[in-house]
Amino acid sequence: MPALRAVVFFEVVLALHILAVVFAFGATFAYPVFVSAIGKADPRAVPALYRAFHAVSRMVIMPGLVVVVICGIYLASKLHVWNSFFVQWGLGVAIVIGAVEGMFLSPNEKRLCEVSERDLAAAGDGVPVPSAEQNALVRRVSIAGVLMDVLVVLTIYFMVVHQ
Amino acid sequence: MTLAVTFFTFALAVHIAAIVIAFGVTFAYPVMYAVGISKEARSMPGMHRIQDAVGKFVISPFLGLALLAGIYLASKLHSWSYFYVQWGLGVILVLGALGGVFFAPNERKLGALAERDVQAAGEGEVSFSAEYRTLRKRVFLVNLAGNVLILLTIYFMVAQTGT
Repeated sequence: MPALRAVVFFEVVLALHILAVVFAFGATFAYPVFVSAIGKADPRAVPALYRAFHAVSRMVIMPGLVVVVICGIYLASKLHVWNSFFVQWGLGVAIVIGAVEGMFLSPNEKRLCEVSERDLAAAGDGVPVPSAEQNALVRRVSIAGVLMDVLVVLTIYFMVVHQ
Repeated sequence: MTLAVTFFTFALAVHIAAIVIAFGVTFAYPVMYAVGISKEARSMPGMHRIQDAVGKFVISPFLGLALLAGIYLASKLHSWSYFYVQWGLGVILVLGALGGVFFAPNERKLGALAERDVQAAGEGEVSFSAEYRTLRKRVFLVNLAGNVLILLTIYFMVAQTGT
């Protein structure tokens, strides 16, 4: 009975680990569609979209990443697989994503909110035109976002292959 | 032999990655719309319209990919009789149907209602109508139910329930 309970707990933690990946990283794959669609749907809502991205970073991605890491540490310890490549890669990617999110994406998203707000104010009642600074920031954030998405997909592949 | 195993693991990774991409954004919606409703009322029509684009260009195609990869995996493992496979197939069909017959039309309707309420407010503070708030609550609750289904499905897949 205790053995069964241990197996069930292990499965719950593994499911939580995968769910946290869906929760934390899934939204970023849709960001390019959000960014390209908002220009056509409502250019005046661009600053609001960037503020929503910034809120997702703080309230979804970072807490989700913490759950991914905590569950991963439990799973790696339980299976005694700390020396395996997929575990070290996964831990490395979690640290890189956390660092990029906190030190690069979050401040740049904050700056995007300010710049897009300024461009909106400059347009008055007309259609806002993104400034060169806004375009450069969008490009920088998009490239970093795509690289992180590639890391997530590669990590999923390595996690699956180890089986 | 190695090639077949490699293709199997590739298909499994594609299946998991497709789930991350298709459903991740639905976990971020509540945060995005909570921020939007409370601080960016005038941007809500645009936000609802891009939700429709995300459904068309992110959720539906990757849901289809997850289904195709799942069909391959279940056939390869001869596991069509297992509960976790039948449950997973059922959930994908339910979520796909909900996307087409519930989410897409209601997101478009939310966009139109939000637009009407924003226009009715003129230059003053936007106050969303009871019709908008009721529909938004309904969409939120169905989205939440969908997220619970995803959570359950991940657990059943991990535990391979019914084998």
